[in-house]
Parts: sequence; C-alpha cells; structure tokens
Amino acid sequence: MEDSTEIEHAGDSSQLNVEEVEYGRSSVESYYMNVPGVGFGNTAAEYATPFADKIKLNARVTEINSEEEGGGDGTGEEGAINVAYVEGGVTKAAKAKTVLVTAPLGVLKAGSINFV
Amino acid sequence: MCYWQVLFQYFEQHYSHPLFLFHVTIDGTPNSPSLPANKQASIDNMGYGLINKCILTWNDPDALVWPEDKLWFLLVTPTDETSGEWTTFFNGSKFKGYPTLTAWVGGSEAADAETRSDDQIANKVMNNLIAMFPTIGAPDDIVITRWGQDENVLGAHSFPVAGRDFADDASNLQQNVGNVYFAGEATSSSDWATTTGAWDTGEEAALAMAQQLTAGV
Repeated sequence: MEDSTEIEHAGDSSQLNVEEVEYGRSSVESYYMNVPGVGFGNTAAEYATPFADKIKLNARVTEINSEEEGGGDGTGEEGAINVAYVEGGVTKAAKAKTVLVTAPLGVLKAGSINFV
Repeated sequence: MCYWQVLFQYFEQHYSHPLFLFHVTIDGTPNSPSLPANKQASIDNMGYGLINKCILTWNDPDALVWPEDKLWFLLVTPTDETSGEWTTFFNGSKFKGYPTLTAWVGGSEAADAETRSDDQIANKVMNNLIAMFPTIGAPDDIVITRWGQDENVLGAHSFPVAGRDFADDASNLQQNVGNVYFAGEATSSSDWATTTGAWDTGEEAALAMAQQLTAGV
C-alpha cells in the first residue's frame, strides 16, 4: 500500500500530504475494476440504470447558457441554465438548475459548445 | 417533477474517458466569451494527445500462446523508424477472461496510423506479434480506434505540456462557472489521462452539485 502510493505519487510517504494519500487509496480501489464482468463500463451502466428514462443519447449540445433566465419565453425558473442540443437534426432545449460538462478537452478546444 | 434535468451521455472508450455528459460536435462557435479568461487559457494551452489502439481477440482459449501473467510486451525493432509503430502490447486476457491483446501507438505514429487502412494496420500489428510469438494465430476479431477523427473526441487525453503547469491548468479547467461544473480526465490534477481520473472528478463534481441543490432546502 505504502509502496504503491509512493510509486503513484513519486514521493516518500513521509512527505506526502494526507489528501494525496487518500487519493492514492481511491485509485488503488479503482484497480479492482479490472475483474472480468465488472470494469468501468459495466459499473457505469449499472449506476445509470435507475435513471434510464432521464438519459438522452445521441444528442449534441451546442450551447450552455447561464445568462438568459427562462429562455426568453417567460416560463423558466429563475437561475435556470438553458442547454441547446441537436437531436435528429432538430435543435431542442432543456433547462437545468445545474450542469456538469465532461466533454473531452479536444472538444472544448474546438469550441464545439458555446458557453454564454 | 424531476429534481434537476441533465442530459447524460455515456461513452465507453475501453480505458479512457468513461463518462461524457455531453455529446457534441466541432461545428459550434469557436468562442466562449462567458468562460473566465484563465479557464479559456487552460483549455487553449493544455496538451491534448493522441493514442490509438488495435484490439485483437481470439475465441479459442488455446490461442493464448504468450505468457498469461505478463501485462506488457514491448517489441524492439531493428530500426528506429519502426520502433514506435504498434510495438507496445497490453495483455488484458486475464481481466477479460479470453485471449486478447491490445496494440498501442502514440504521438505522431498514432496520427500516421489514422491514415492507414484497417488491413495495413492489422498486418503490421500481426507481423510485430509474430516476431515475438511465432506460433500466434490470426485473431477472430479486430477493433481499431481512430480517436483523432472522431468529432466527439478529437484525440485521446490530456498530457502535461512543456512550459505549462499541468496541475494549475487542470484546476482551472475543473473550476465551476456558477452552476456549470466541469469534470473529466483533463480536470484531474493527480490522475489525468485515466478513467480513474475521469470517474473521480465526476464523483467530486456530482457531490458539489448535490450539495448546492440541497443548500437551501
């Protein structure tokens, strides 16, 4: 455990801060993902199962707008974030109280999502 | 009424980027005026590299003619020119439960590989394997990635680029902008380039979001 943490972080255990060691422990746990039939993919799918009806696939987000309250139609909640996305060639909108963006860095570099 | 509405996009790229909430394209507006300057500077200047893989699988358990417990095989070729072309192999057989090898290629060789046909790549990979394991048979299935050409990915993952402090950039990228949060391997100061980094930063962001949503309740 100490060895793997030191190798992971390239520092002596006496010099690692507690947060880093904690992070190392978390990473070591993740290696148990390497079990046949488990893996990150299956685990993520299992997490997602209860929310299947809220998950939208093949929808391309083009804009995340946190300035425009209510999307201009007067029906939005105060502080809502408006997300524009394209699904089947049609631009649609969604509202959220909070949004998590995990697009790859290359996609952010390309400016594929317009942040307003 | 649903508590919050989020578009959720799940991707699995074997061992990279397991979770992407947004499935996006490159034809958007190339400006993000509302992102803070330091976040935009990090996005623009962080290293983002390319790795491609050629995954080979065999149905017959007896096809496993390489050391079962060795995780990596590296082929040394006679010339420098060919030393980085599909010469690194990961042996994930014991994790998958059937014979499988993944050939890796990175950097300029990975970009070059994207210009080659599936047959050209498979031939090169198999020739390199035969050099190490002469009795190896033809695989039953081959999957070849071309992440640089996938408009929803455009590369493989971040890397620390000379002249930048990666931890600072990752931290800038991870910083939320109001109620818009960011996660993913490139936002991980400690585990970038890995699924672990993507997973852990996603969990971190989700906890922060949950805390924010329940703050006034």
